[in-house]
Amino acid sequence: MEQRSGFLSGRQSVGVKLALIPLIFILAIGFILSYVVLSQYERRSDAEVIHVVVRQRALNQWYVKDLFLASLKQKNDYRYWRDQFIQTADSLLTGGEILTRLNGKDTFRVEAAPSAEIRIKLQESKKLIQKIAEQETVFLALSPQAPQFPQRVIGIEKINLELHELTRDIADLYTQNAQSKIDEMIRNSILLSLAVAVIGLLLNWLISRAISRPLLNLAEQAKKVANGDLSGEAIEVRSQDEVGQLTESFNQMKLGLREIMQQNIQGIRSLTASTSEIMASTQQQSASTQEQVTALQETTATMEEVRQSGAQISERARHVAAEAESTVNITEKGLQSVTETVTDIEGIRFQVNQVAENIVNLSEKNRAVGDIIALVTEVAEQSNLLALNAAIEAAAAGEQGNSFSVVANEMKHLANQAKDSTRQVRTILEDIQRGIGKAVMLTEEAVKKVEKGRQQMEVSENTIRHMADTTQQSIQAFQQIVAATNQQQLGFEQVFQALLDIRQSTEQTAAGTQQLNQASNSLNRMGQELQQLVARYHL
Amino acid sequence: MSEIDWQTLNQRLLDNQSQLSEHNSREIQFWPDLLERRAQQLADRKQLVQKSQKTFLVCQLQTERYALALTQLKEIAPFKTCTFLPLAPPSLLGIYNQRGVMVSVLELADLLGLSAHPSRCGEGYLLFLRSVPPVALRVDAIGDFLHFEEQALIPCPKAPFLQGLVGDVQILNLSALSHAPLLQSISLASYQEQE
Repeated sequence: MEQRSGFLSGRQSVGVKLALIPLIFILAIGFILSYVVLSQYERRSDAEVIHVVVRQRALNQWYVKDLFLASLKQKNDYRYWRDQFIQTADSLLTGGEILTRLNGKDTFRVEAAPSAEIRIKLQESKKLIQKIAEQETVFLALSPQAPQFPQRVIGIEKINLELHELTRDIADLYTQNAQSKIDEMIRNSILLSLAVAVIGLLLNWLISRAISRPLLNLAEQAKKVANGDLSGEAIEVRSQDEVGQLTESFNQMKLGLREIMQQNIQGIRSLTASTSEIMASTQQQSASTQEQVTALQETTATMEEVRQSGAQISERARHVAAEAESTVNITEKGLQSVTETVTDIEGIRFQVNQVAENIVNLSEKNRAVGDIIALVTEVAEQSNLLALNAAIEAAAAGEQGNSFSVVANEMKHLANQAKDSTRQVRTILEDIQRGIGKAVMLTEEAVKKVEKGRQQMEVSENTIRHMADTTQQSIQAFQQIVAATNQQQLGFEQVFQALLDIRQSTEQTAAGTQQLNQASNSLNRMGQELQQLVARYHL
Repeated sequence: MSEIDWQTLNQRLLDNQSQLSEHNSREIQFWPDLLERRAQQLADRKQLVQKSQKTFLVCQLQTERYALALTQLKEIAPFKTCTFLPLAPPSLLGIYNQRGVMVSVLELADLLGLSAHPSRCGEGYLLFLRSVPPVALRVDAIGDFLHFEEQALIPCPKAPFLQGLVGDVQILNLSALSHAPLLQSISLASYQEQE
């Protein structure tokens, strides 16, 4: 960024620049005031000099008057006036201290006569008064009645008049000198003021230009922005003062406005699209509201049916509660029956155990019978062998043994029959034993089933007790249901009333939806207008 | 589960008890009747037995039935035990002390060449033969007596140890059986002479 260096560079702030303007004027005024003060001081010296010069005329007159009075012997201090006159004339000629007041002691210093003419006049005045002083002895020596006296007086008076004229000329010269100084001072003051004014105006113009030029550029850009032209590059910032900061802020503002306008354009587009969607939605909402009204009518009818159903439920619940109480009574009877059944089952189990014991005893007796049968079988076997051996012996005996052989054969036959019988008995005993075993097994199973039945009956007892408790709880629940259905009826009344309110609200909503539709239309038109408005912005 | 008919069951028990009581009451009369009936049978059989018939004892080896003439047997006894002889052939089960007489116990099935089977020592019956030295043949079981005519015998020439067949019973030929090496070793010659 280019920045100017020097007095009006961009490093000074606008406040400093603005402060320079009155400072310049103050300096100029001070300069002019100093000049005027000095001039006035000098003019006061000139006035005092003029006063002294004018006082020389009075001293001249007083000297002459006192000289005349001294000639009349009335006063005798004419020398003082003469000496003061000569001393003052000398001071005016060469410069020196002069009494400010004749009877005082204050003095002031005067410069030497500013011009040769004044010096000549002063020297002449000095000569004239010295001329009068040369005649004063003679004059005082004369008597006023002396005939030369009037002539002397006229001569002195003549010199006096001449001196008086001369002092007046000197005063005039000093006055002219002072006047010329005043004129010079006035002229110088005018010139100085003009110069200071010109310089001040020049500096002021430079300062103002340094301030106003970027502001004008900024104003021009602001005017473009005001006209909607947000395009173009950012303004170059050439200073770090307030204007530079303002320019930078303006650039940021312009950039921000551009982004805002872009966002606004997008927002307006979105607004237009949204308003279109809102219009469509409001139309749908209007249709939905109409459907809602219809649905509310159906819901109201349904709620009426539900209320009637609730009343039926309440009646049914009362009926079920009464039946549940009857069920509780039945359950108590069932519980009593189950308890008796458990007792009977216990008795059955005892009797079955006795049956099993009897069967076991029967099995032991059957085994004893089997032992006996085994003994009989052994006897039959021995008989058979005996018969065989007898037959062998009979055969060995030949013809004599034929009869014995027949007996042996019969014995063997009997033994065989006995063996067959014992075999049959053993088979029967085995069947009995199997039957007993089966009976024992069945009895055992019966005992187990009885035990299982007893356990199941206990389970049934517990179940019935639980069922009784549950039924009791169900009665309470049904009573609560009855109470709840009563409350539900009240609730249905309230819901019914609420549905009516909702229906009214829905109708109001439909009206509001219509208004919303109109508002959406207005909003859509507004969005389109906004689009037209933002179209004039150049980004 | 069918319901128990306790009435029928009680009736059956009562019937059984009554039948048992009836049998017990008839037991006293049973034995005289039996003896009388047997005597009658004896009388009848005496008429039936003919001189031309021979009596054989049927015995069983495995599934086969064999018969020996009663005249060839000396005694029959259940086979309880015998003394095992070391290094003896398998057919010789051992020796048996029959009232002070040492008897050689042979396995008849091995002699007949039947299929081998585990030793049946302690089972079956011993058929003591009328032989010198005394020999006993072990068989599995003892059957009834067999009576048949000579002409009822069906000869079996291809079976050296059989006289023939009577029905399904094989009639043993002990003389041929004596040629078996084992029997020869214990000399059955005397037996052949007796027959």
